[in-house]
Amino acid sequence: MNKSWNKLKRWFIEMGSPPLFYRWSSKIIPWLGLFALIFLSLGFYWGIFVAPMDYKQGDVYRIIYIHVPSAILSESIFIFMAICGFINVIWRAKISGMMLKSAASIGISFTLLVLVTGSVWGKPTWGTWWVWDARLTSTLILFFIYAALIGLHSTIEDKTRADRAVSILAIVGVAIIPVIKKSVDWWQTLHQPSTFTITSSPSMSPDMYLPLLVCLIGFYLFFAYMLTLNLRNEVIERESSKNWVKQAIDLESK
Amino acid sequence: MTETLKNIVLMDGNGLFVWFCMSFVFLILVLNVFFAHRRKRKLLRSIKKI
Repeated sequence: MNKSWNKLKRWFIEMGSPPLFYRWSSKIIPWLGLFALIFLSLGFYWGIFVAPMDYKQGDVYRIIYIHVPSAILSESIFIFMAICGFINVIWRAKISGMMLKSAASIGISFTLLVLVTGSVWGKPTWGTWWVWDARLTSTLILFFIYAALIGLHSTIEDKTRADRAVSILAIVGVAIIPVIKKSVDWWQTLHQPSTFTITSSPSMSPDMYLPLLVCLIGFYLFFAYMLTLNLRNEVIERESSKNWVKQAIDLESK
Repeated sequence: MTETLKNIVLMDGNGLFVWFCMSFVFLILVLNVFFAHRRKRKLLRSIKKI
């Protein structure tokens, strides 16, 4: 147990080194892509064609297989970014800053997905595309925070300083996550309560719940795939003057 | 066969909402991958020039 823990700790520290990360990531990236594709295809097929129709909402509820996983992912990515930011501020690990920047573009695209699919779902069920409801408004704020993070990083030329500034913004901005999560409990909203909760069993039937779980795993795998892709690009860009980058690229192109 | 296909596409009048969301998620996923690969190609080209 102790031995494997030490091994894991050593691996974690090693991954902080850009050359080691770059070499290791080239091995896992095809697998992440493949598994993301399998889980997403299976989840969408199951959710759209196999899962039973909802007795109240009819077929329109099937948007849940896109909306809920992307909502969970957009919040998870922000928490991940805040952790990266914390590591960057405290330990000044170079790779954590790169990770934060790489995750931001994925996070904003999934937040946009939540807002758009939520709006499309709102029209047939609530009769409106948008309401200034606590859940919707707090998610819109999350979208703006993501945009601010990306904007701030691009305006500061020195990458280390940019990473530091964005880290602080991510640490402060993470306060929006509990607000989004609890908005349906704290305020009276049109939005339904959370579909996934850690403390209670799901209120949905397993026929509907299982494909949702498969979609969620697929979305997480896609995030891992995209993060690795973006992080590799970030590493190449920032370390382009180093010899190991040229060697690694030559080795890859052979 | 045609009836089943029609049911899947129309979904009792909700098909437009569901299929729009499916297309949008597909677009988001594809664009993410496309931009990452395009950036990689650009970076590799610029590094090889050095």
